Amino acid sequence: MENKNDILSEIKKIAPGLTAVEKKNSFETPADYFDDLSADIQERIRMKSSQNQKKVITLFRYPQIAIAASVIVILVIGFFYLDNLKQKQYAENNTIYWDEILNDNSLIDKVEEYQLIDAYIELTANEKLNDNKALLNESEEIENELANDIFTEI
Amino acid sequence: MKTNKLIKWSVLLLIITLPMVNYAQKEQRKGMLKEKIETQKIAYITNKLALTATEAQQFWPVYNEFSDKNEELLKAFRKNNLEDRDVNVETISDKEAMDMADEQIIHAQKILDLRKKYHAEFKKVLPAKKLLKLYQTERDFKKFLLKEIKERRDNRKMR
Repeated sequence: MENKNDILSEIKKIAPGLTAVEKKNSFETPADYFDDLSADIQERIRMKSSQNQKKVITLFRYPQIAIAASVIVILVIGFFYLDNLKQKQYAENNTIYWDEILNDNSLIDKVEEYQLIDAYIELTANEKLNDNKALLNESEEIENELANDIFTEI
Repeated sequence: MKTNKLIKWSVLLLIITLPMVNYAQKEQRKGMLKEKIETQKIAYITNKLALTATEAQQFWPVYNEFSDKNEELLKAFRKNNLEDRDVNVETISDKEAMDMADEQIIHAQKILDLRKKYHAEFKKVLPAKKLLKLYQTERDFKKFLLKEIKERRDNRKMR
C-alpha cells in the first residue's frame, strides 16, 4: 500500500497529466460477444472445409450403390470381352479349317453354304471394324466388289 | 452440383455403353452383310438361269422356303454331330449309343426328304435344264464365297 502511494505520488510529480487519465478499460466488445465466439469460429471452419470438399466429385453417396455399379460395369465389360474373344477364336478355328477346303476343290461339297456365309461375314465384320473406316464407304465397296466378282467370275 | 452429377452419370454411361455400341455395330454389320450376300445370290441365280418374269415369280417363293428349312436342318444336323463327337462311348449305355447312332441317320434322312420334296416343287416351276442349272449354280456360288474368303484371308495375312 505504501509502495503504491509512493509510486502514485512519484508519478504525480513526474507526469501530472498521466494521473489525470481515468482508470478504466477503453476497449469494448458487444454484449455476449464471447458467448458465441467459439461456436462462431467452429462454424466458419466447418464452412470453409465443406467448401473445399465440394471440389471433389463424390460419385456415390452410398457405398452399396458404388459396389453394385462396379459389379455391373465389370459384368458388362466382361461379357463383351468374352464375346469378342469367342468370335476371334471362332474365326481362327475356321481359318485352319478353310485351308484344307481352299486347297482342295472337291471338298466344296462337304461344306454348306451357310457355313461359308457365316465365315465370310465373320471375317469381314472383324476386319472392317479393326480398320476403323467409315461404315458407309465400306459397305459400298463390298457391294461393288461382290457385283464385279459375280458377273465376271466362274 | 448439377454439373458434377451430370459428369459422373455420363462417365458411367459411357463406360457401360461403349462395348455395347461396339457389339451392336458389329451385329448390325453382320446383318447388313448377310442381307447383301442374299441379294447377290438372288441376282446371281436369276442371271445364270435366265429366269423369265413368270418363272421368277413362281420360283423364288418356293426356293426361299426351301433355303430357310434347309439351313435349319443342316444346322441341327451339325449341332447333333458336334455333340456326338465328344461323347465317350465307354460312359453311356447300349441304348443311349443306339439312340445317338439312329439320330444321325434320322437327321440325314430329314435333309434328303426335304430335298426330294422341294425337288418335286422345283420341277413344277422350272424346266428341266434350268433345274439342273440351278443345282450347278448353287455349287458355283459356294465356290465364289470360298474365293472371297480366301481373298479376305490373304489380305489379312499381308497386313
